[in-house]
Amino acid sequence: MPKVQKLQREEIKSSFLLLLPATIGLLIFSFYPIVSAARTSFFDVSALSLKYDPIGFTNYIKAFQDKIFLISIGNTLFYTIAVVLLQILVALIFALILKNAFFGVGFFRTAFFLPAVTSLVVVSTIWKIFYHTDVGIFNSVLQTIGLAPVGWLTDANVVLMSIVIVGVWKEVGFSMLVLLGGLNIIPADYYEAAAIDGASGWTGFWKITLPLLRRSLLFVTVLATINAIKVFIPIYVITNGGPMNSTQTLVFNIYRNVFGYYKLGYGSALSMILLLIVGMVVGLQFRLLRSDVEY
Amino acid sequence: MKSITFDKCTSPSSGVHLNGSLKGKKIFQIILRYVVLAIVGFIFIFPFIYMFLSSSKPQAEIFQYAFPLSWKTLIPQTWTLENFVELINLLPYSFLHYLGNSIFVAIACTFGSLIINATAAYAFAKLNFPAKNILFGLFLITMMVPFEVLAIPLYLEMRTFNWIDSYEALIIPWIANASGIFLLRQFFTEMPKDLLDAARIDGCNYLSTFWYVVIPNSIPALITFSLIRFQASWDSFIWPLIVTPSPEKRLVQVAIATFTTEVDTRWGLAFGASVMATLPILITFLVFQRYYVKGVMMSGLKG
Repeated sequence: MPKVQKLQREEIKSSFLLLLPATIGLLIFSFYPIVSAARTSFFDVSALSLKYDPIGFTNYIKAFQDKIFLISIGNTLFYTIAVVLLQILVALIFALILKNAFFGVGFFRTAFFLPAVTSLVVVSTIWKIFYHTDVGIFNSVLQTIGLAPVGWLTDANVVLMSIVIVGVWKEVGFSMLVLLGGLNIIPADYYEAAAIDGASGWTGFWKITLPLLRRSLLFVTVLATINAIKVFIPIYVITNGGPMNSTQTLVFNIYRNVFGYYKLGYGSALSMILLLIVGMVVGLQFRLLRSDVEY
Repeated sequence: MKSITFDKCTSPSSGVHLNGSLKGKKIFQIILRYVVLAIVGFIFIFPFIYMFLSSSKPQAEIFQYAFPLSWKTLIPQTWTLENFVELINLLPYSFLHYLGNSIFVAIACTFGSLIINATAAYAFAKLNFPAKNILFGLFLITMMVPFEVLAIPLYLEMRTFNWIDSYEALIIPWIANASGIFLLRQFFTEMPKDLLDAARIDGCNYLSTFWYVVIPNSIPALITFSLIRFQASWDSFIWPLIVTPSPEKRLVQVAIATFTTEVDTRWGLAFGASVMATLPILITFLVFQRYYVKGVMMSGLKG
């Protein structure tokens, strides 16, 4: 009995040592900031003296009267829906085409994944010049085939869609790869059995592929959604929120309020709203993920 | 170019389709597939080609042949290294200085998080201790909170620590990482218990078991983890933008962004810098592709 106790004590002691550094790190750089952000959102903070003035829910009330904040919510919503729909649809099509082994398949898989390993700053830099009204490649092509040039970054009705295209191009390879992983573990027997029963291509897709791909699909959708909600770099590099606030998004607006206007309390309230939105997406994921398909 | 390969990449449906459909239809499908893939593949590779070629053009030539569209639009008339030379002689700091900063920070982040997260993941995967599940749950919560929410308090924390414009601010907050612990725990859990028990019988304690048995047996997992962490650090933008206002500790991504967001955009420099910042990561990816791809595909299956 004392021997067992000694062993247990050693195990607990070792666990403690093994976990200590990570726990300290997360305490200081994750837990404390979460609590601190929540607290700061109820204060008016002067950026220079860091004097905290308690003002209750004023920051939150102000947010919903702030026209630019409301615009940024609308833009973020549009961006997120457009990016996620396009990204998942295109990724699914790519994955279905590329799951088969054929000559050159590896080349295409790699090609589609290249943007995913390139930094978003570099990607945004290249697309910014592609979109240029006068010297950009898109307008060159349009004019060469006799069409009118488009104000990719100057027309307030177009510019958010331009950013959507950048987002999809960058992330679609990642989603594709996750979906390929999901497709690869669907047993081939299922398709063979279905074929014997007379179910061909489309029926097989709807009745076998899609249901069994549910987990991977949900995973990439949630990841893509959270990523899209937080869109910042393309906005910062390509449009700076313009023209006429047409590309103001949630995180860009937070950045501008905090590091442009030094409104720390207000910015914290906006980030708590962001946390709430992301939290709802994650919560939804957990509800939907309770899938009982085992294969 | 090496290509992505899978252990099992045979089509589950090949052979099944042929029974029902005509051979001619099949051939048409194959041609259609290659045409579609070639067009889409071009869209995905073209921006990289454009970037490499534009970085080799003299500043004056970059937009000279933008319209009408011809091969001159893409191919440099005069091949030059002047953009790279200018980047190296850049003031106040050479672009190599920013590259060096990024390499140092990324390596430090990767090594630090490798040690700290692997030990924690091992404890969660193989050891028993009180309140294990509660602690793991708490760790997972931090995984759900986006960095953007933490940015303001973290920034204030850095001011308190006097870490603004320092390597500490760029490295230390990013070492402990819950999603890294989560990923490694998955790998370690799959390690056979017998292997660890054998080491224990041979007189290893928990820490030496970790060092002599767990680590050598999970090299692929550790490579995958390191690649993910290295890339995350290399691509980081918002945080270095916030905590390094002066150029001395500036990282590459921020440096590139300054070329394009300044009033007078230096496109030649922007392209050259993009090439210099992308090439190392692209080569790393192509070399370690197998590990990388496995990590990504696993993330979806275990989600």
